[in-house]
Amino acid sequence: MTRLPGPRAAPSLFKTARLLAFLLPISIQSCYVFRDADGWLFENFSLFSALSKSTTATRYSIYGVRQGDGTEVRLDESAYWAPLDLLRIRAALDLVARASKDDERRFLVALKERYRLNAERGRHAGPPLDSIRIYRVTYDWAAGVDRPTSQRTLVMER
Amino acid sequence: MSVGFARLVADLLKRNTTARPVDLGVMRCWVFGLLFLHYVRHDFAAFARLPAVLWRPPFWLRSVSMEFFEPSRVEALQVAWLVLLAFACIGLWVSISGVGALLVGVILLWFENTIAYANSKDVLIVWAMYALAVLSTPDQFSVDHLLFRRRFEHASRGAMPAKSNFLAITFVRAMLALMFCSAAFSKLRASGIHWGTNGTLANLFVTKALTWDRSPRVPGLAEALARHPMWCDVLARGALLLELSAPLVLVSVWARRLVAPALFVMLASFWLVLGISFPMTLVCFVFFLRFSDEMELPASDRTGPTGPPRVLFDADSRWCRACARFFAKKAAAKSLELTPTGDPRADALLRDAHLSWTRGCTWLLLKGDTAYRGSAAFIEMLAIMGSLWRLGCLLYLIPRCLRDPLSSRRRT
Repeated sequence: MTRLPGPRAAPSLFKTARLLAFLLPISIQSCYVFRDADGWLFENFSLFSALSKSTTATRYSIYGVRQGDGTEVRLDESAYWAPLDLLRIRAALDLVARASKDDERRFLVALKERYRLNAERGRHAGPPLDSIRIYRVTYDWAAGVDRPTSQRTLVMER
Repeated sequence: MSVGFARLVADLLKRNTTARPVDLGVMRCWVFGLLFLHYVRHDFAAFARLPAVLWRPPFWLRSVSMEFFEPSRVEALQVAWLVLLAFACIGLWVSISGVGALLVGVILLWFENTIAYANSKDVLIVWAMYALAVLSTPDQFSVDHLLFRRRFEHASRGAMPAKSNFLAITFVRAMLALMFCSAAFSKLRASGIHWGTNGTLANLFVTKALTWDRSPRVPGLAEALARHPMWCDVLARGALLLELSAPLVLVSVWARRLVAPALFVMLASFWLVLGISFPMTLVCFVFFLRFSDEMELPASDRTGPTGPPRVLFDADSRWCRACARFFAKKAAAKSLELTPTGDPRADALLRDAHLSWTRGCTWLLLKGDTAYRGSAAFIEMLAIMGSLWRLGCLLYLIPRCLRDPLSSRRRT
């Protein structure tokens, strides 16, 4: 008596597909252990892997100009900009600074709108703003952690 | 040599193939439920309103324009995702809702990560969704189980569910181990062993403290640590060693008990010290937890699908005696056989079932071909009671390591 292959073939194919679905992502990610490439889903998670001996650091810093008195308030907190986080905003500032003035303006307008929306939704209690200023700040702690100095340059305003 | 290797592999697999049907269901609830809570207030459409110059898709998707992701479309996708996540969490049409949540989630998270820069925070949770949706079979801890009981009765008789549950859990553990291992290797590749000897971590703490990323963290902790570069180097070397030892969680039960909690604490401390949070990666550690405590009985001691479930309880515990009296009264119609420890029938039962009464154990339930121990036995007894008592099954959501000590502490 011969056995028909049909009914048994399906579960076997299903098992093979499942095993492939198990092995394929693991194999690709295993290759990334030894590769110097970052992507999304497969990457080598190189965050903070570079050696850092310098006692200076330069970052973009976001300030808001209060409506009325015109004083500045520092806004380096993700709650003001959610769902944009500061890492993403700083990467975006780098990109728009290299692009056109128009892109720069559009990004700052989007940031201002996000600040207003988050205030409306009760995510922060920041003051109403007249404008947003982006500074490039260089910190220096060569004299010690407790005696840092900083220098800032205005790079964008809207 | 090859026989020895095969025996070693078989032993490793045997020691690691301990996935219970309930475990994966509880993991599914946690993963999809916490994803829902995390993203319910997240505004994906905000990314669609940014200038197109920030759009950074991978080279093979450059033909897709950012205009495709117009705000209204992204909002609709997010609503669909939240509905699918909620269905997948409670286990309603779990095969469809799980795969749907995975697909829509990948689109939304990928879109977010093509804006300005790719964040690795969400990677592991995507793989957890993949494991739950693609590698696992419908589980016992779901609304589907209540609605389509017959389908589950057929499924539970085969060995397939246990194997696929094992695959799903092992997959997430493997991806987590590879993630940490990749991070360690990229540090060694970029900086060598100097990453742990050169004050790099102290510098990172200072930078984080000075650049004043006012993300939620313990105030002053990064600054305090940065004042002690030697300690920071010790911490850095410890972190590197821990990341390198992550693959051990796949092969050793003891490593899993030590390394997995240590990795969890390390990630949580990034949050506390540096304000860098990986909430969804922390959720994936749920795949290292156990929720049920059941074992298959030898064929000679099975009560059979129609036989009365038998319960052994700790006669020295006032709480157990009170519960046993309550169960005896309420579950008379269910023919629950309750036997206190010390009774000759209890000894005979344990002997026949090849089980031992471990210290601290308060309950043992023998039902059909399965023995449930500790708090899992108590939860199963609640399920036997029927009606609203079945809601007691939600106690499975508490990990066994927390639930069992709570139940055994209630002794006289």
